[in-house]
Amino acid sequence: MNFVLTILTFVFLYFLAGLAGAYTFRRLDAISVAQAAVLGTSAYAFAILQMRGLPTYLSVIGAILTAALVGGMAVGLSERTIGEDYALLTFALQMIWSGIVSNWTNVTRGPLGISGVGLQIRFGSTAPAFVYAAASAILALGILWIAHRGESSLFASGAAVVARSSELASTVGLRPLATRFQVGVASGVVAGLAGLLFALFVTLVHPSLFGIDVSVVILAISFFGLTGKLVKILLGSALLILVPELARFAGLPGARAGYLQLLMAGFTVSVGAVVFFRHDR
Amino acid sequence: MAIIILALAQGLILATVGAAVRVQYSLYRGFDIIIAPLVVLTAEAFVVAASCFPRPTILAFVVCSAVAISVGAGLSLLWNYTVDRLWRGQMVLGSAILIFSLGASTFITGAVGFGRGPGLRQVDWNLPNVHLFGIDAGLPTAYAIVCGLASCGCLYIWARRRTGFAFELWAQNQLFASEIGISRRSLLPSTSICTGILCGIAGAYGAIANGSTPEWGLTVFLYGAGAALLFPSPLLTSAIKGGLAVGALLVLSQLVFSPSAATIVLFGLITLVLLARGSSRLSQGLR
Repeated sequence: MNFVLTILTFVFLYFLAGLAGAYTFRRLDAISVAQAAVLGTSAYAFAILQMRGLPTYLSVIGAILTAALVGGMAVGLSERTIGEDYALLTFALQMIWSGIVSNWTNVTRGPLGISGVGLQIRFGSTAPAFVYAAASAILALGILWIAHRGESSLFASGAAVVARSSELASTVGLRPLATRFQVGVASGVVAGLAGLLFALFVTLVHPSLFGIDVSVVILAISFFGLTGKLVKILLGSALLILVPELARFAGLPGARAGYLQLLMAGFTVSVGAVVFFRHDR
Repeated sequence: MAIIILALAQGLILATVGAAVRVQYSLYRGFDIIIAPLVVLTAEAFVVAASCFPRPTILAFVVCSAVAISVGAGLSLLWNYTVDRLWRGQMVLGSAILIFSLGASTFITGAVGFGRGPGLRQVDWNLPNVHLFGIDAGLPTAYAIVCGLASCGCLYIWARRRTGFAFELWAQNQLFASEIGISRRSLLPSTSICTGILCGIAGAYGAIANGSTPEWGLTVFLYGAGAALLFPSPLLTSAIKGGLAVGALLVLSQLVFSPSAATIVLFGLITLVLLARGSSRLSQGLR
C-alpha cells in the first residue's frame, strides 16, 4: 500500500512541476531548463529555515516566497533573451544553481545535503504516506482547475501579446517585464509547492535531487501540456514516474532505473521537439 | 610559465569544443547540445581502444585518437543527416535544434548509463611527464597543446578553402547562399567531419585527463558555447579566440577561487554574455 501511495505522491508532485513549466511556455513561449532549480530553491529554503529554528509555518511561507522570487527573476530574463537563447540561459542558470548548492557547504551542507527535513511534523494516527498522497493530489487537481480557468482570462491574453512582441505590448499599455515577472511568480509558486512537498515527503534535500537530469524529466513531462488540455501533463507524469518505479520494483538496480527514466525523458523530449517544432510556428 | 602552459592547454581544448559548437550553430542557427554526448562518446571510444594497448606509446595515442575521431565523425554525420531530414525546409531551427538535441543527449546519457551502469571511464595507463617549454608538464597537457594546435590549424586552413568559404557564407546569409546554389545538405559531409574531429580531440583529451562522465560533457558544451559567443564575429575562427580566452579565465579562476567555484564563475560569465548579447523576436533569425 505504501508503495502505491509513494508512486501516487511522486506522480502528482512531478505533475505540478510539469504544469509550472508548461504554464510558462503557454503564456510566454519560453522554454525553461531550470525548473529543477526552482523546485530545489523551495526545498532548500524550507530545510535551511527549519535548521535555523524557524516555526514550520514561517519556513513554508519563506520557501514559497523564495521560489516565487527565483521563478519570477528567471522568467523575467526572457524579456532580454528569447527562444533558444533563453533556453540556453536557463540551462546555464541550472548548472550555476547546482554548483552553488554543492559548494556553499556551510549553508547547504554541500553534496551531503540536509536530512531529517520536516520529521517534526506529526499527523496524529494517520500514516504520513497517506497524508502526502492526499495533499499532493488535492493540490495538483486544485491548481489544474485554477490553471484551466486562467486559460481564457484577460491576463492570459495580455501575456500572449507580450510573448508575441514586447514592443507591441508596450504600445497597447501593457508592461512586458511586469507581465513576465508575474508569469514567473505564478510558475514559481506552483514549482515551489511541489519542491516543498517533495522535501517533506523524502525528508531529505541534496543537489542531485534537483540536477539538470531532473530538469529534463520535468521538461519532458511539461511537453505533454504545451498545447491542448493541461490534464495531459498527468499522463506524462504517470508515464515517466511509473515505468522506472515499476522496473525498480521488478528488481532493476536503483541507478539503472534512474537511467531508464532519463532514457524515457530524453526520448519524450526528442519526439516532442520533432512534433512541436516540425513546421514553422 | 607552468600556469601559461596550463591555460594554453585548457584554452586549446575549449577552442576545439567552441569551434564545434560554432560549426553546428552556423549550420542550424541554434545551439546543438549533441556536442556534449559526442565528446563523451568519443572519450569512451578512446578508453575502449586504449584497453588494447598495455603502455601509452605514440602508436597507441595515434590509434586511439583515430578511433575517437572516427566515432565522432560517424556519429556527427548520422546526427546531421537526421536533423536535416527532419527539418529539411527550415533554415533557422533555433529552439527546435536545442530542445531536440537536449532530448537526444539525455536519451544517449540514459542509454549509456542503462547499458554500462554508472561510474567514471578512464584509461588505465600510467602517464609519464613530458618536458615542454622547459617545464615538466603532464602528458594530457602536452596532448592538448599538440592536438589542439593541430585541430585549430586544420580548421583555419579549412575555413580558407572552397567548402570553408561556402560554409562561412551559409553562416552569414543563408538566403544569399541558397541563391547561389549552396544548400545545408551540400555542406553536411564536410561540416560533420569537422565537428567529429573537433569533438574527437576534446573527447580523447577528456579520456586521458579526467575520465568521461555525462556531467563533464554538459560542462564542456557550456564552456564551448561561451567560447563561441564571447567574441561576436561572423568568422568561424573567432571561436578559437573565445576558447583561448575562456581557458585562460578558467585557469585564473581556479587559482583565485577553487576548481568548483571556477565553474560557477565561468557559467556566470556565459549567462552575462547571453544577457548582454540579448535577442528580440524582430532580430531573431537575422543573427
